[in-house]
Amino acid sequence: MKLIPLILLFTLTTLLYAEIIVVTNKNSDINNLTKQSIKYLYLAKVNKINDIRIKPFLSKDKKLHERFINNIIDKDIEQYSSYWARLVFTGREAIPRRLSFKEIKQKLNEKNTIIYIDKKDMNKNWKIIYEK
Amino acid sequence: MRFLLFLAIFLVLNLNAQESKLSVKFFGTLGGVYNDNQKYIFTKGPHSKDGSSKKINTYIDSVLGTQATYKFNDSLSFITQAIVRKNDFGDIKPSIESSYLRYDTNENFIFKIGRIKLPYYKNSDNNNIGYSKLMIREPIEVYGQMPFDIYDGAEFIYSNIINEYFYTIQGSYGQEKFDIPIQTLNEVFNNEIKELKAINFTFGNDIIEARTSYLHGKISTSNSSIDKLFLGLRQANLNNLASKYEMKDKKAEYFGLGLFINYEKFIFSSEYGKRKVDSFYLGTSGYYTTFGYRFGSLIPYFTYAKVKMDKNTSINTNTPLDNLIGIQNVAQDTRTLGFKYHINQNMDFKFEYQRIRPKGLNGGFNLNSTGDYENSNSNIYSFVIDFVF
Repeated sequence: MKLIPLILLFTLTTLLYAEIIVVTNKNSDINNLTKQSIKYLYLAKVNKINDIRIKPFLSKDKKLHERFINNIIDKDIEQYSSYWARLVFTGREAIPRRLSFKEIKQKLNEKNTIIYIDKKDMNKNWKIIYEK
Repeated sequence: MRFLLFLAIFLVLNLNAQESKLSVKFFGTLGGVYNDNQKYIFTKGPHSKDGSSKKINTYIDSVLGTQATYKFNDSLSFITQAIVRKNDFGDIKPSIESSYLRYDTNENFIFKIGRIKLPYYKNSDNNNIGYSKLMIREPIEVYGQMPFDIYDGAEFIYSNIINEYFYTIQGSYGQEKFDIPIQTLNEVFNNEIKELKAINFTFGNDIIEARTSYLHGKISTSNSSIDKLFLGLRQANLNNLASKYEMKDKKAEYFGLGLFINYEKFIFSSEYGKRKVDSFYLGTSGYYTTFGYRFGSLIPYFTYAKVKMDKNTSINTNTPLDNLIGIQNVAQDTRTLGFKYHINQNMDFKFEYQRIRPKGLNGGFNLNSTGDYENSNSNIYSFVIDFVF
């Protein structure tokens, strides 16, 4: 019986700290990306890494999005919003679309598109290119 | 330019047919400014007519704008940005801020052609987008040095990564005609800059970023009083004096440096700028340094900014030129204490207290004397709400 609270605690911890991974189509030319490369792609500093044109997308899942910005991009969500406003209103970069999970599945049919997901949602048609 | 405007109208008329290719976004700032010193009018810029002198002015920082982007395909797009604000002449009028075709080669190269912002400063491109910036208005001691910030021409941007660092090279070529009201003379100067060339280099990572920019062109100005003044000098056989100060096809240069650090919760930013124009429009040098700290949604900050004249503005030729040179003195320094509060991901609230010390005979960069000169300081209180949708 003592095990039940422990199992509950473990489940809760797993839910709270579900792992974020960055994925792409399994046929993409990219096999892995460094954290710094992911930062530069999502900060629109570059759109090509190792001669491969990469299209990043954002998730509509607010909590997932915030955790990605905090933990992978290393910025506050407000800081990232201000940064994007700067890029968008100066014509430097169009905002990557915020996608629902259904749209993510469709978008990842295209080669060299990347997005962050919860590891539990991993699909056999995708490959992990970054895992913290 | 008319072609670009017609193209913009055409694209908006096709909104329904091509909805997915067209995106329209809005931005704005609404706020108020109070200057406690009735000896000066506090203005947005050195050439602005409207301002605050012992009463709240709600036009100085207020601006409403929209940006329409039409994507022809993944590479080619057309972007137009329009704003409504009280302009330097004191009129509330809509204007096209930028309007250009953008071609992205998908090889880290971007080309633009049309009406484009000049890359003098870090926030040149987004100076009207309050939400994207920390301060209510960028320090005029640096951002106010050049009298124009847009041109007709072409631009390329190349970005890439070396090891763990990114870099961006930006080059511009074009020309511009622009009118400037000179409030102290109550006249308008018609200006033209030709053979405009600019280059900007940015280098850094996600914590530290450095930039340098250089601009070069040939500038001319035309105004009946000024033309008469220089004609008078030549008729009095003061040709050397006239040639030295007349602004006709004169070399105009701007050199800028910047350093920006975002380390954990700490913010540091500093820019230096130097204007050199071989004419009565004398050279200036200015800088600012900002320190800030992020407490979640609240960012308090402090800025010190200073601009000085690179040449003496008191000359003694016993001609009307002495007065023209004298009013060029815009030297001043400003201390700013303020905060930015993020209300949500589309809106913020900012408050600033500034203390400005003008050095010139008619005030400073954004302080115009209302009467006889008195060297007194001004306390400026400003608040704004910025939004983007």
